Amino acid sequence: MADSVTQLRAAGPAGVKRNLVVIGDGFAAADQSTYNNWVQSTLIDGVFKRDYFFEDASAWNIFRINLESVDSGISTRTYDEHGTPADASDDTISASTTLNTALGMIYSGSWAHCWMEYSSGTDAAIKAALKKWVPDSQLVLIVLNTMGFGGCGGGGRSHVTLGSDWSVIAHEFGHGLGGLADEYCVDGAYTGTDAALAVDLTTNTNRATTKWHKFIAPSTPVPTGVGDCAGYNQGTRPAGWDSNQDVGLFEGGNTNKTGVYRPVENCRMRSNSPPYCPVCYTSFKTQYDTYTGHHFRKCYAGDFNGDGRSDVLVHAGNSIQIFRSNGSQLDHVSSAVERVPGSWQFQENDQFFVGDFNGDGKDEVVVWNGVDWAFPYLGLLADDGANGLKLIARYDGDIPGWGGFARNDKFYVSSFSGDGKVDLLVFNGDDWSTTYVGMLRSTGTGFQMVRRFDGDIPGWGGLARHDQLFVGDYSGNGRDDIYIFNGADWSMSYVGMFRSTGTDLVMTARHDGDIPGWGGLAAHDKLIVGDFNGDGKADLFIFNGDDWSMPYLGMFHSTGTTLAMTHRYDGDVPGWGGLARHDRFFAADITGDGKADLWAWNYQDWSEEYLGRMISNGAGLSASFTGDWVGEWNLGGGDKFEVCDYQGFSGQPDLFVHNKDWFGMIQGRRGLTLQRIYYRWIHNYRYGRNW
Amino acid sequence: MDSKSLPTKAAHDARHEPILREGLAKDERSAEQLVGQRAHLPGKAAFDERHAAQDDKSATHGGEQPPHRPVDQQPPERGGARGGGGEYYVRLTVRVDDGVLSIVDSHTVDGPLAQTTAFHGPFAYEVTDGGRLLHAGSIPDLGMVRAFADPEGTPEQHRHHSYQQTSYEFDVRVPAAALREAALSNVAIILHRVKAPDHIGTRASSLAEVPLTSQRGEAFREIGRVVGIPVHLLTPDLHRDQPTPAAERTRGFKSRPPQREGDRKGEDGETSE
Repeated sequence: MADSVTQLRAAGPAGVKRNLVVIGDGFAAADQSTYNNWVQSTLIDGVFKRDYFFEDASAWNIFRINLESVDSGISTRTYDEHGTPADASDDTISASTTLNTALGMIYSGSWAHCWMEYSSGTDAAIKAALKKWVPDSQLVLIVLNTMGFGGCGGGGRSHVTLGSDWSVIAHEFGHGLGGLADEYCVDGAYTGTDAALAVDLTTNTNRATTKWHKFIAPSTPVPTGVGDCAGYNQGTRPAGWDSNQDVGLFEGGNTNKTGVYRPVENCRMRSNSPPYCPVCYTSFKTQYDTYTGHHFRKCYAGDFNGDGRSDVLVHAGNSIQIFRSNGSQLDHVSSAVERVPGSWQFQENDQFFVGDFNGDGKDEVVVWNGVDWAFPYLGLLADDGANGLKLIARYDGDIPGWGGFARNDKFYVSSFSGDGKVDLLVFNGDDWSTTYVGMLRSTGTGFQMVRRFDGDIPGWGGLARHDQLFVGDYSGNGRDDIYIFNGADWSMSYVGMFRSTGTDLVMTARHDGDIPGWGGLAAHDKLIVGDFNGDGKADLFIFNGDDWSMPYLGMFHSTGTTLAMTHRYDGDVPGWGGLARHDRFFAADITGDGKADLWAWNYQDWSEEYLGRMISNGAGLSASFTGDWVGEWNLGGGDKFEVCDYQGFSGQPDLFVHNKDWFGMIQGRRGLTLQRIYYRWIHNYRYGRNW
Repeated sequence: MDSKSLPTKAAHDARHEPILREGLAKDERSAEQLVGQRAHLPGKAAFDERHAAQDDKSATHGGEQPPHRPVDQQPPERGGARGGGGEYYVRLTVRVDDGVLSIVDSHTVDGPLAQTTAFHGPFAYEVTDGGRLLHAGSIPDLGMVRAFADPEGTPEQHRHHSYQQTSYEFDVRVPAAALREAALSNVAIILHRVKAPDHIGTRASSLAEVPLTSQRGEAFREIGRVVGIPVHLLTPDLHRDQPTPAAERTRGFKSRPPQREGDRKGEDGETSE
């Protein structure tokens, strides 16, 4: 086997990511699988599948260089330490063995000699390997083929043995990547200055000015622990106090027992296996945030574990993260970078569609990309059994029966078969000489085209380029039907109603130019589907803010086959303070009474932004709103909203609100209140925040 | 509840009748009449040919791929000799010998170069062209050697065995485009010690295009600098019209760091931290 490199994680170009390189020494040809397995289990599945490094997975390119050594094992050097094992100055070499290995490293097992050392050619061999195999690197992890204890780090390199487990390496990365100090205590008192200490240590016991004062709750005594490597001993340790996540000032750290303070009782920088404490975590996040590429522009609500609460999938560039709701907050459970097993390779222009496509009670994800590859792709991602996703079906360029994916295919989540598995509709009005609609029924493991409409659905009079599809079970038979609206292609505007048979669409009504009571369908009518009277049939709201002298909002209930007007609001809905041109609406059962209500949003027409609720009583709406702020959330034009139920109540009483840097959780059941707000990353500090 | 303000809303007048657009209504127009108004996808089947394409599907790339046999999605063909649209950066290896900095190697790397705004690590570097910041980076671990603690050793060995090296290297990175516009003899690489941030948990502020010491003041204390980049370490496109290497050397390509009282006190030699 020749020397080689394998990029275990391809997060992005070397200059916009951090680059971690692993090199093995002393691994002969027959040992390469041992080396590969260690890298996988200790680094990839160990360090990088836990807490901080899992969250920020997209910041890291990881390269594994395989160098084939002639000999198996590592050269050794034994020191006669003359009874002073902590003093290297009087040591003499008592024995040595020399093996022919790729890097020529020597293992001594001597603490005073950093457990291992370089031979004369080691540094050059490492540099040569880096120059040959990787574009750039910030940290090099060198693995020795020995089970002997020990490791040696510093200066951008960490040297470990096969005997090192993930927690030791995670601690070492705290130094090598985080610039963090040790928080454990051995002996003595610290006598240096505060300025000389790393971010996770201080001598400053002033509550108002100490480095991490933002994370110390007012009820926590400062200092919190006094004495030799103290725990919480200044007053009664509160019930529920978390030794790893609750922050105070605890004496001991920097290997000193006194004279210096650490943030928590037990951080990873003290005893390896716990997660980084809030101070170390935040320092890491702040340092590497630039390289993650993370943002909150593209967020998708879905119940990915089937617990009845909406989680969120965050997509940014070539990565996704999944955060699980516990009813009041979100916690990171999964990251995927560049691809998921299967494989789907994430791109910036991926479009995600969430639904229970296999009927297992958990949401899956359909992902579509029509622009970034040589031809379009459609994939189905399902639970991987470890809180993440894996690809279970991928369609490359086409799905049988559709005749070829095209750039502007539009997909709609629809349970048109009514079999408990959510299906897909696909529409294309741009790329072909004819407009097409396809019905893709989910099999649970993929999709089958059950019907394709070429240019028309009987009765519609011709599918056209600007047809807009809206999904809802207006017939109340358990199968999602569709409304089609066209306000652009014909001399008048149309609304069509098409009932699903499970394998076909049958038109039950076509409204030409008007729905009685509406006063005329118009080009910029906007349709919103929702069962506002709770009769099990999907009704229709229509809003028009463009075509008339005032904005209108109409409520049309479904009879099962056609539409009849319930109410029309001319210029205002009571409580909203005036309909306006750029009002936007999202249907959701906010109150949980089985009737679809409306979220209303306007950031363009007034002196400040407004977010409101329009609650349906089945026959009309009553509105309320808040302006400019929802709690600490400063409403803005870049905000996007995802209707959801992160609390696990009935209906969809909640909203995820997000923009580039911020993510919020809004409760809507009783008014509008902000439950959580996150900046740049989703993390639940026990006290304090990262801004 | 607050009431909205501005602008004045339209009066509740009677709704106008819609104005019909010119053209045919649905029943007066067949689907075929729409043909020709659409953009054809180049090379794709038109309406009638699409049915035939279905039959040929299996002969092309279409269809489901089994998950156990992953096949990479096919990237579009891209032009350009370098990745990242021709953008690249230069990585310079700087050696520090007893506080004296010198550039010992360089390497070009394809692609863009990100600029961090957070400097939480104990060291940082910056590359400047006079009063202009070309790039800066954080160095979390520099010049230190750290042996793992020995839990079975003597009490002294229960901590890292650490010591500061007197000679060490670090890498600096700078966008090629920035170097191309700079006077190489004037380019300085400066190594700083960084004081820990006063308060962890504050938003990282943006970085201006001026030297770090000009914008972050006392947080950075200079350890040393080297002025001038020898042209032989750079690719030809980066040193057109630049002074000759000899001229650069006479300008002091290698320089001693400014001597500050108290600088690096207690940092040399072995330490038990």
